[in-house]
Amino acid sequence: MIEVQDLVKRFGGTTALDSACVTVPDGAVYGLVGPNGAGKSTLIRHITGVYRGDRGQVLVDGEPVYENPEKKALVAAIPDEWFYFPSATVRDMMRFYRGFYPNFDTDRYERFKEVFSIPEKSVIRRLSKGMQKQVAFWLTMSCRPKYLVLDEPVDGLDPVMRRQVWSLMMSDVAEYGTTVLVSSHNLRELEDVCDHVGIMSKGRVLLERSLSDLQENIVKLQVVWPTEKVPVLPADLPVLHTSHVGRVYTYIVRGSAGEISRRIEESGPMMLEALPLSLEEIFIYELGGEHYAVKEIVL
Amino acid sequence: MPSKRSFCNTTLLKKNLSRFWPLWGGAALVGFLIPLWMFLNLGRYGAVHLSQEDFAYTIYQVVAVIVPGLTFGYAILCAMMVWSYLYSARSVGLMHSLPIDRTCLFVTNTLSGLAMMLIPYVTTGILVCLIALGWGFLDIGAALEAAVVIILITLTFFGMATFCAMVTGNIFALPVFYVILNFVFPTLEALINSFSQMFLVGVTGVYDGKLEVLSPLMRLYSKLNTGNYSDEPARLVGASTAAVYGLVGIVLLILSWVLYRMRRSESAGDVVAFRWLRPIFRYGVALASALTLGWLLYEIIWYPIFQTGYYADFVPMAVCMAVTGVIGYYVASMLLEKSLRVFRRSWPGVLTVCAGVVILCGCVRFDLLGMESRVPRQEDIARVTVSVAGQDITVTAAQPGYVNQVLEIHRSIVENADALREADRHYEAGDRLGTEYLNLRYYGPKGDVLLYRSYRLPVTEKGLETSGTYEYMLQQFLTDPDVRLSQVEFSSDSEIVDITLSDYLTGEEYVCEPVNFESIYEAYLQDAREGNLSEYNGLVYDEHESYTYPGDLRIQAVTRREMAVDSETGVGTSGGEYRYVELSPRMTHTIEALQKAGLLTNEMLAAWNEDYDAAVPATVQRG
Repeated sequence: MIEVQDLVKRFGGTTALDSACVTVPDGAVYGLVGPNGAGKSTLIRHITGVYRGDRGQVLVDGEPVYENPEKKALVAAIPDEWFYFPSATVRDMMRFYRGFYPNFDTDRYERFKEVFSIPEKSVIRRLSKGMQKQVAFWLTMSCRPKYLVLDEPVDGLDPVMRRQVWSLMMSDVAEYGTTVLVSSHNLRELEDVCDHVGIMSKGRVLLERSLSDLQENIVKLQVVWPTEKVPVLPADLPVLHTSHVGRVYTYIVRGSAGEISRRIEESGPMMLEALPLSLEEIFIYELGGEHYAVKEIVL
Repeated sequence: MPSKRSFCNTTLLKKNLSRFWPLWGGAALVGFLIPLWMFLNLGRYGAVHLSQEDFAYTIYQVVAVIVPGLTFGYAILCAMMVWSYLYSARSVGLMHSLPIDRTCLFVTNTLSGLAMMLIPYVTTGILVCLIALGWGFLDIGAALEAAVVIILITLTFFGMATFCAMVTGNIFALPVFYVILNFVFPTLEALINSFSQMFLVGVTGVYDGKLEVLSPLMRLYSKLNTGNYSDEPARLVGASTAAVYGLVGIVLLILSWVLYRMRRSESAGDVVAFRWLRPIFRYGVALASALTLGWLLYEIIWYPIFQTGYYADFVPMAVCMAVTGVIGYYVASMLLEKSLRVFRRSWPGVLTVCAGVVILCGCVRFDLLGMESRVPRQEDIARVTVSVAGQDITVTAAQPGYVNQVLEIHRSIVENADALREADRHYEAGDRLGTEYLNLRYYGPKGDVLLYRSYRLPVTEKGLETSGTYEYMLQQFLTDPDVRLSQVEFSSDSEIVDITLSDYLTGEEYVCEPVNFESIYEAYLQDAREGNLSEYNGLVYDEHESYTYPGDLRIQAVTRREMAVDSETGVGTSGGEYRYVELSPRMTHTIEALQKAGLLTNEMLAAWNEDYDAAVPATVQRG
């Protein structure tokens, strides 16, 4: 399990992480989402032992990961900008990784040759951005990590390769119980693979839950009122967002669909329908309270 | 079960060596040219005249002359290679996420760097030794000694380069810091000396190398040498200096390891990697800027138009230094912040720089550090050299009265420093006879220079006549018969070995018979006692002193020890002391003795007198 407890990190006068807390259960596929500058990459660099927090701690299997080679050996990461030696070939980098990660699986590396179809002797610098990303996956997954930490992992990959890479990761999760922590802006994609989600904003983790809990706890209701005069909804109803087209009103409300529907029924709507929210919608409406509402910009 | 801790990662070590092979491979290739050249030459000409001594001498010469400079330059290249990952967020991200700790990373990279430095030396050394062995002139002891010194020098410079690599996060700043670290203290000393010279009476801007010890490169070059190879077997002098610096290099490596463990990965790209070092950098740059550019600004703006006299004006200098100090402060801030927007809320720093510069300038100008007023204690002085009015007089601790006399003169000058400064600023001829340049150089028991002062002294008639003035005391000292005698007399264990009279009119030289050495030397001393030697009439200019006969006398004496060496070598008298005596009509005793010895004939003297009378103007009374 990866635990981030009350982590604070400041860069000069900027607070990048402000008492951030994250718990990634073993075997989970944890999606870390948040707007630009929320602190996702900073958090990931702490989890991979690159950064040392100003306060708080980062534990892997109950032990601090910073300066702990044993725990770091369990974690393999693909950062947002993966580094390779300027003149290195894929095979050179494989030898390098093999020298550090005790679980490096050379057979697996050989098998992945077919998946990625990149010549081993290619100088990585000369490959396209997407192919470099494939090499990063190839090597990182050959390390057979217990924890796979990915920062914007599929950026630059074509749709087919994206699907293939996710499929490989999911099969690792299923077969070996690999835990995946992934940060991404592609919420649609995360929705398909994640079972846990943490939403970050301004250095803090606003909420983290399993995806199902999250989806059960927020509901989109489409309501048609009988008259143009809209009745006042109960004051304690946690409405996150309201919009309407004619007499069709859309409410985003925190709470379970059944309970919320029952309470709105009391106001006598002509028609009421509860719809599930996508992760993208949850992200937007949750962050709305953080002054992150989507602005409709007209030029 | 805890796993075994590793201090070196072979994968990384091999990777470093394979990544950076062009550097060490290129260096080894250049080094290979030496044994190749040696081999081809020996193959063609053989080693008939080469001995183990020659081998030792040559290898020591290489260590003393080539290795320090070469290693200094090569160390920074190796350090830039092995620590390059620290200067990019991407690379530091990879290296610090690897499952090894910082200590292991540091040790592995340090070993990689040292290996890269030593491989070219080792390959070249082994090949040279094999060739020397083949031709039978290998001195294995010298080779091993040279190897040890090379390792020590390598440790020194790689330690320094690594230390610099740890305090910066910018690869371009690394070589700059390295050069600064090597030369900052001697440069600062030279700057402060030169700066002091502009304000303080007698203080010279001469770099005396007191802080040279803090520059390994300069110190190694001044200490490492091969001794006097012509007189004694070849040896490497100064190896202990290399050992001390090698130790310093190890200490710096340990310090670098501590810094590396403290260092944050996010400092990649920063000019200074540690926040606590930033003020040092900011104010250091401000100080350097104030001392160099402030001075330059003063020289450009104030000096040519407004300055009168030799000494600088305090207020304009302080203003120029404050202006350039503040500029330096902002430049440093811009480098640190990686932004041009550093002006907001900077007033505390600017005020600190201005106050610091004014305090520094004031400390120097008003001699708060006592540089100007410093006079050595008599008990510390082994000898003192007084150079004035064309004379160089040395008095030793064995002549305490004279040493005290010199100190009294020095104190009198120091007490009148303000008056001297003022006199320099507002020159008025008045009763001034002229300006004399007095150099005082005090030596300690180990031959080290305790103090060197150089004064420009106005000499007035009134001063010469008034007891207690520096002119009066200086004149008393210079015209003291015993002082004069002490300057011409040979030491008691010396023996005169040659007296030669030169006649410039004919170009002839006349060598004296040894039997007359004593009488001529005694006559010469008698003339010295009576003040007849033209050079010893003190500060008072006497025009006839400048006219002499067209002939001089050269007296050579050697000590008994030197004579013993000469008799062993059988190559004649080589060392000793000389007195070159310009003869004049006033030197009656010497002239008479030369005549008695038959060296100076009546005809020669008549011709000399005729020449002298023709040269001396009628207005000048004949001495």
